[in-house]
Amino acid sequence: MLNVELKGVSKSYSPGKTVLQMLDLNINAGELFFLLGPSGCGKTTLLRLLAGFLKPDTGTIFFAERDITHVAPERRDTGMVFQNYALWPHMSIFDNVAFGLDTRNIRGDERRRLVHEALVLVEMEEFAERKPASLSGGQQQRVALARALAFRPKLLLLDEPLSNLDAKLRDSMRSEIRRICKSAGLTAIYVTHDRKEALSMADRIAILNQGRLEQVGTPEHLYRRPLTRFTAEFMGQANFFPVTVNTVGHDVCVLDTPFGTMRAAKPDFEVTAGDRLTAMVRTECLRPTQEGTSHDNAFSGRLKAGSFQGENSVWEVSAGDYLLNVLEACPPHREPESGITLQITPEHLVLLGDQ
Amino acid sequence: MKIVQKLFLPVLLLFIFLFMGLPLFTVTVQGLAPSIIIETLSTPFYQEGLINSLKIALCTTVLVVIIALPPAILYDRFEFRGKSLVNVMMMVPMILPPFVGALGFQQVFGYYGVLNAILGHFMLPPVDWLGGQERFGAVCLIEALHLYPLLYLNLVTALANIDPSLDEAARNLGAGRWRRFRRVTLPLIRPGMFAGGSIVLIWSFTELGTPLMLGYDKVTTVQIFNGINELETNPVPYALVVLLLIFSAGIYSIVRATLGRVDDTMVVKGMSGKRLQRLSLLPGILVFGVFLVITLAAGLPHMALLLGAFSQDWYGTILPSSWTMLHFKNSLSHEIVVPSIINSLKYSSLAMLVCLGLGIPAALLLVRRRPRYRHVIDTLIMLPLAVPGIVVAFGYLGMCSRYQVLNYIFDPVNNPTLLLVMAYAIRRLPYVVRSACAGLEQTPVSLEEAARNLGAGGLTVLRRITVPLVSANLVVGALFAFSFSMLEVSDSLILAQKSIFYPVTKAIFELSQILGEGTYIACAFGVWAMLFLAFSLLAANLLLGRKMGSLFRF
Repeated sequence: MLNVELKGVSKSYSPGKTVLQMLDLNINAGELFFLLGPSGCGKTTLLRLLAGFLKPDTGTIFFAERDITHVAPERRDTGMVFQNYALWPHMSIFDNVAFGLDTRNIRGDERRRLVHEALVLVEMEEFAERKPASLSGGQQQRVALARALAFRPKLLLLDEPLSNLDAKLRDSMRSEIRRICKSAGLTAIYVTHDRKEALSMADRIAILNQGRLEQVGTPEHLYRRPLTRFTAEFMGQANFFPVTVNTVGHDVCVLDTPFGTMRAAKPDFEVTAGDRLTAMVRTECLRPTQEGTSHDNAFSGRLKAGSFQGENSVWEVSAGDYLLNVLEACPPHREPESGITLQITPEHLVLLGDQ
Repeated sequence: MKIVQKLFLPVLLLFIFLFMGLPLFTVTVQGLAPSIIIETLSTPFYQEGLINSLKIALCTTVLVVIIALPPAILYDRFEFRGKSLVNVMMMVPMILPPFVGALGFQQVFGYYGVLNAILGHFMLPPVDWLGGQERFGAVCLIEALHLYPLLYLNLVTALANIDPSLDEAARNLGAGRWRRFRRVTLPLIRPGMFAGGSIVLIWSFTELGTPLMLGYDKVTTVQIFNGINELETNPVPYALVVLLLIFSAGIYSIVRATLGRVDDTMVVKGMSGKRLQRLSLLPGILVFGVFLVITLAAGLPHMALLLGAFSQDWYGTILPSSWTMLHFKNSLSHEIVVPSIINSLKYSSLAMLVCLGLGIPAALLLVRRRPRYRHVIDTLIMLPLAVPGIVVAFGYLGMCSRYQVLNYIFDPVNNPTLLLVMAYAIRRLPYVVRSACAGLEQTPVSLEEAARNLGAGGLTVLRRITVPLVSANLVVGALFAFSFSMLEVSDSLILAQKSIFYPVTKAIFELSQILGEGTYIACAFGVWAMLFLAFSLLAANLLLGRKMGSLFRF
């Protein structure tokens, strides 16, 4: 187990086209840490910097307080799982997995034992003598994981390891990888653009946007209390509207919104009365309630369109000048153009830090 | 269309049978008398020839690997100034058939050649560069400098096909540069190594022109050639041909068994982009220098040829002592020159047409209709690549003297045109078919189906969709067929027996044998040939780019 620290790391492939900008990041020992972002955000570049295939233009990278910025990839003791698995087609599964032991001069019974243990861990022990070409995608993925784990690395790097698998296999591999990482006590850094993967597996997530860190936090925190519109949108469906801060209290603040005055939980950053900000509310947090009676933190609108999806419905509700998306679970039958009252719990009305 | 399809296969099979199967058969029958083979094998003169041929093949191949592997790796790893140039540079030696190169080679390395003149200039004693009368080293070096592009192109293609993550994975697991090369790169380029290496091995084993031109007659091919005049009475040349064939097949099988296994298909999905290491100015110049040195070394005989063509008198001096344009004029006015050019143009165009006429339908059959027996057809079409030209030529003479009917049709003594065309065609057919197949495989069938869906018949689809789409590949295949026919040596030397039927290569050989001005005229003639092939290869390179390497696989 080791902790990873990045200080002021930048990288550009050609002058003027910056891929990573002055990144500071701390990854705790034993953590399953996710780098999440759309394609082209620099997450794979960051992973390749950690593996040593790239050198940063500026900044320093530490593994367990040791500066490894200029250490060659083959001396970093990281296990990496490549997006396309990169299994050597000319070697058997056994030889593939044993490779990291060969380079460390581990021979004989010890070598056999460690390979066997790695293959048992991914439940591939009966395939040891086969060649990679005879395995299915999921099996190749497991072997790639076993190969990266066999020499007991302190840091595991995973580059979209599940992106080549079908949806069903992906689901089962998610919990499998998490189980393996946790039982081996590994620090693992996992790159993906799939937010469901990140939400269901990560201890913490870093959201990357155009080479910059957007926000770092637990899955729940990033979903519930995003700091920026980018994070909010990337993590799930939401509605956005402009608000003005009216008064700031102890743990709530009162906002002037296009739908009337409403209370919201106080954000993590400083706000003062008169600030003009953007507020966010997730589609499932706009809760339709009994029409006609008065409710706390609620407003009324008109149902414009809806799509019935079985276990839930998505409604389009017009309120003021805005068209809001509402996700309702266990939905009753609703007629278009009927009135609807929407209620928001103050902690679900989130103030965003940008604009 | 249906009838064409039905008729095509028998025509193709008849062609292969008549111009490859039957000659191989007659050669084998005539030479396979055990008593003669044993007698030949126990004659020290022929023993030595076979051993020398094997030694030449081995040395040449080793030299080729040494020359071709480092630049291929440099090309694959690095980005440097002038990189776009180097592949064209590396093709330079293909411009000349090595036997013409041998002409220039002697001007440089001969005892009274340029190198010794330079040594003499600095008061140093002359060195016997060619290894005395033996000429063994000279033959290997000339052939290696001519043949290395075959391996180089194959290696560049093979290296480009390796997913970079395979190397990165090894690096991630702690493997250093040498271990990665030995355990990952080398095993993965093995098929390319095999594809290029086996051609070089067999080519140099059966090469006739170079040892003949250098006067090195202790090799099997030259011994066969010299035996041609006593063919009626002496069965030894046939026995030698059979031995050549057996050894070729043996070498090929051994190499295939050790290098050619194709069990390791790449399983990597979605090739990750290759990141080339960009070299700064000085290392870049060094790397470029590697390519330059190889090209210059390979181009030396050609430059000497050029100088020889312009020189009035060049003997024991660094540069010719006087210059002239006369040889270019003479080379065009000599009585056998112009007819030989016309002959070569005629033979080669006809051979090219035969190749296209058979090659396009064959490729369509192999790629589009994919019959179950397609591997058999593919092997049959590719077979001529592995059969030496000298064997084919001998087979033709043999079958004509054995079956009177064929002698009546082909008439090799009085007019060898048809046989020469077919000899050229059958050994170039593989290039055309491979090239056309590559084009068809890259063209989605749906484009043809769309035309069919809109009401086009089979021939219309072929004419308006298929042929235009693969035209680049067809042009390249045709160019290769034409150029290599123009510069074919073995068939030409053996089959063209009367001077009015001489093709270019035989004319150059005959000219070079004339004392006095003959060599210079031959040089001038060689320059014409060189310009010609340079143009074809440049055009092919532009049209096909890096895929060129795949043409030389079998």
